[in-house]
Amino acid sequence: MKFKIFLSTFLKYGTLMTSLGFIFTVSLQIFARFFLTDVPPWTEEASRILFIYSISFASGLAYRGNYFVYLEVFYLGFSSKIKKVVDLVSPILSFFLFGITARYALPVFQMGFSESSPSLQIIMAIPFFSLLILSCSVSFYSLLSLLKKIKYLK
Amino acid sequence: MRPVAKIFLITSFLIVVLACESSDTPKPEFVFKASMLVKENHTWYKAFIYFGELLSERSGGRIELQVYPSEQLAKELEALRLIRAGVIDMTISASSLTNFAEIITFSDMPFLLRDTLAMHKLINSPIGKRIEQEMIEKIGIRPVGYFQRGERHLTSNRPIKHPDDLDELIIRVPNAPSYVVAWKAIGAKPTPMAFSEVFSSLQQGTIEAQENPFAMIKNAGFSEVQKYLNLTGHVISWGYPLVGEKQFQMLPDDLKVIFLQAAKEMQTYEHRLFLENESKVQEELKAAGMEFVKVDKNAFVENGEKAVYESLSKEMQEVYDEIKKITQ
Repeated sequence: MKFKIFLSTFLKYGTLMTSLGFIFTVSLQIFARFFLTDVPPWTEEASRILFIYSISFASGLAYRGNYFVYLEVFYLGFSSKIKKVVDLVSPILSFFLFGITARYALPVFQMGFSESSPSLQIIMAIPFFSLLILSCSVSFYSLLSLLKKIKYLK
Repeated sequence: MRPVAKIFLITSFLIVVLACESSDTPKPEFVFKASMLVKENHTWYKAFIYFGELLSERSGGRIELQVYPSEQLAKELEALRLIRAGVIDMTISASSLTNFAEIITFSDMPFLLRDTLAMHKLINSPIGKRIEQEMIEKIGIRPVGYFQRGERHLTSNRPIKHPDDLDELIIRVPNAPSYVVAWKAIGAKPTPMAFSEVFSSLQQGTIEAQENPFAMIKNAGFSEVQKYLNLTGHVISWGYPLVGEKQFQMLPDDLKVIFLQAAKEMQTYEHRLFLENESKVQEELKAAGMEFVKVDKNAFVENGEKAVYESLSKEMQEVYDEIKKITQ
């Protein structure tokens, strides 16, 4: 329970901070283009990294809150029995997909230590870490959703 | 069964059937996947197709090269990462490799080289060999030749003949510190921006100018929003056709020889296409209404060169001095 609260708080604050950072860097970039003598070259890259982080922080929360877009064309036409199966299979697939992504995000993260970004000159392992946050949080919440559905079926 | 469920099953069945491949097709021993930034009509793509034909013919079908244009597989930087991860095998790049090894910055540096002769001297010098060695050792990617790129020129809506004419002109530059430093020192207002945003930004007036080689200016349709093509020629650069070192080492010795020989021939073939294309593109740009403006190159170099030099680390400044000695 404690971990769930920690994770949700971490993701919420992460989303908030990175979204605000994104808005700030883009505003600075626009302001500098029109009113300053030169544009800080790091803003282009910083805004991209902050945007990626805001998505990875928010994805787990979006899964938990059912905010993702549904493909309802087939789903609504299914019988209630098939709907139940789909409801069970969907979190299982999400869990495996994002679990596999997390597994492969690790070597990508490690690879990022030998590469630096062009303007900020930070190691690319920092932006690559967002992949781990996204995949781990979505697979965690899909597992919780699966357990909840199994409990409900019983 | 409900009609929706029937459609679902039929669709799934068709996907499975269409995804199957005939087992009679003979399979090559080595399949190389190449990711290209450029479209099918670009000389780099044509050169890779030629390279693939040579490989297949000389290896008796043991090697197959699959070429994917227009960033279908990955963007330039992602392609490099995928090669390192062993997912794909080949691409063309140079300046993006600076993120992995600092010395590669010299392959795309403003005001470093005066002409293409200097470029060839640099590539074939001990520093050129050091660049290639660092690519293999530090990045795990092997260059198998080099493709000359067109000189970069400035486009604008007023003629720029001298740095004094710039007067804080807002210029889009790639996201590379050396470009920002150089243009700022000359008197412009450089703003880093993704290439895909340049056309609409020129249209809307967010930026007033941009710089690129002739072929890029033509392909992106900048003649529709820019009147003057100022012949600054401020960057002379090249790209390396690259193969993953791990993937290359997997080839047996006889195929390695074939691979490298075919790559050499691809380089010659591409250079011929490049020269033909450069003159053709210039005529097309003129026909599209662009006015070519001769500039005082020396004035640009004098102002920009020092700023670029000072932005380098101490070690790279030493390399810079050596390059200047070699290329003079």
